[in-house]
Amino acid sequence: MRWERWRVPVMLAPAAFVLVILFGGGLIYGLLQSFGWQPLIGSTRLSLSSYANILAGERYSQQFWTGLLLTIWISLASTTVSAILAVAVALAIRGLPRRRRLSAFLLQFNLPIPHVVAAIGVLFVLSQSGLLSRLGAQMGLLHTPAQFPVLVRDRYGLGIIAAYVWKELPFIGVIVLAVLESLSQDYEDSARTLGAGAWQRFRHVTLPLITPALVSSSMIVFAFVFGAYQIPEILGVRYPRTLSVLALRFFLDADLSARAEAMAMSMIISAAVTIIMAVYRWASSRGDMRSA
Amino acid sequence: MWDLLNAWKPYLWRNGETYPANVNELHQLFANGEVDFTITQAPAGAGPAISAGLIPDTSRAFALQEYLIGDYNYVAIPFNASHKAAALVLANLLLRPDRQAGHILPETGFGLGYAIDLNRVSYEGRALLEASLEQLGDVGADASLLAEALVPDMAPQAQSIIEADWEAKVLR
Repeated sequence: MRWERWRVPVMLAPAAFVLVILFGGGLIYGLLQSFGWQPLIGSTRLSLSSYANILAGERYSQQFWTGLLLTIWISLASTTVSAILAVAVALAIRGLPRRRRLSAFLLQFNLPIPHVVAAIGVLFVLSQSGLLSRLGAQMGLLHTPAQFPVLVRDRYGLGIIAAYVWKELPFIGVIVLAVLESLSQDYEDSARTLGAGAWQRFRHVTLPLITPALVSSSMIVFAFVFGAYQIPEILGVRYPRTLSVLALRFFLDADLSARAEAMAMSMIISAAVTIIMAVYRWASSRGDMRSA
Repeated sequence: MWDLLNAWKPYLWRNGETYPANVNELHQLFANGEVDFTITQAPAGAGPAISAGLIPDTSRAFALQEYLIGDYNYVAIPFNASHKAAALVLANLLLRPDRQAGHILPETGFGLGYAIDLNRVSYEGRALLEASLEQLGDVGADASLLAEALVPDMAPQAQSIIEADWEAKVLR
């Protein structure tokens, strides 16, 4: 037996082990629970009733569909706003001279900050008794906390979106900036010699060049926001709740049989994210073929 | 009943659009003057929350004269526990009058009430409990008054149903 033949499988084994056992095992156990597998409470018959309950049942379906809408709204809004602002910020930073790159550092510093901290930060600043509200009161603009607009724990998820934008803008920005810096200035210069204005240079030269990086980082953000739990848990309201928060709420229900619905909802979230990523891969591979 | 609860909405924090997530958040809203009341389950009244710095020094507690919902801290043994006998020993230990007396005081316990019947403990045990209660001073509510108004928590089966109906008929 020759080592060469086994080298690749052996080197892949640790990563594969973690993926298969921890991720795959959890997924399969979750799938079984979503079918009603709970031997501890004597439930071993498998059925699809939890999915039916969520999609059309009286007790859960209303929460599920409004939760789905809210989740899609939050994911779309935070991704779009982050992406647009990130491009603007990256373009602005690129124009700065090398020595004054403090802003590039400012773009990166929040990357390792956990989402929970971002959520609590937004809570401190934007809540009705937060820093901004207190500042307003100091300046005599406000007299009671209730006069400050409801920006966190609001029904439209504005606080949640604000926290995600704060967290994801730098992520997309760093990636776009890296691409921008690797690009030669020549493209834009030649466009300029051909008489292209600033907007035309951006629209027809720069934007197409950064689009692949922009789209793929935005997809990562979208998929993450769709399934993430911490920020909507801290900044969300009791109704409507995002799918991830609802799933945990069902999981912790005093009624243990609600765990099947919780797991079914988690499976739906996982499936949705997987489908989104698959569609993106399919679309981008088609795009590559066309441009090639 | 739902009509009555809905009629209260204009008087609630943010018109009942959402609720504080937990009692600490409620304490915070109270301290900021956003709400007029907060709640405590401590028989010692506002004292523990004041000394923890959660609410202003001027806060005072009152107890409802009827339908005061209260329960005891309890331990449960899972049906699939591997050391049931040991768990029973621990449960007995926790119920001993001297442990319960220590539990009443914030320094050595949760600062909550005791969970045993005074008429069924020995004279020494009773003396310990009463000494602890006295040490608590006058910030605590009278245990017998509280006991009179006390009603137990609702059954867990009812809780799920009420939570779901509340959300559908009041919160939405």
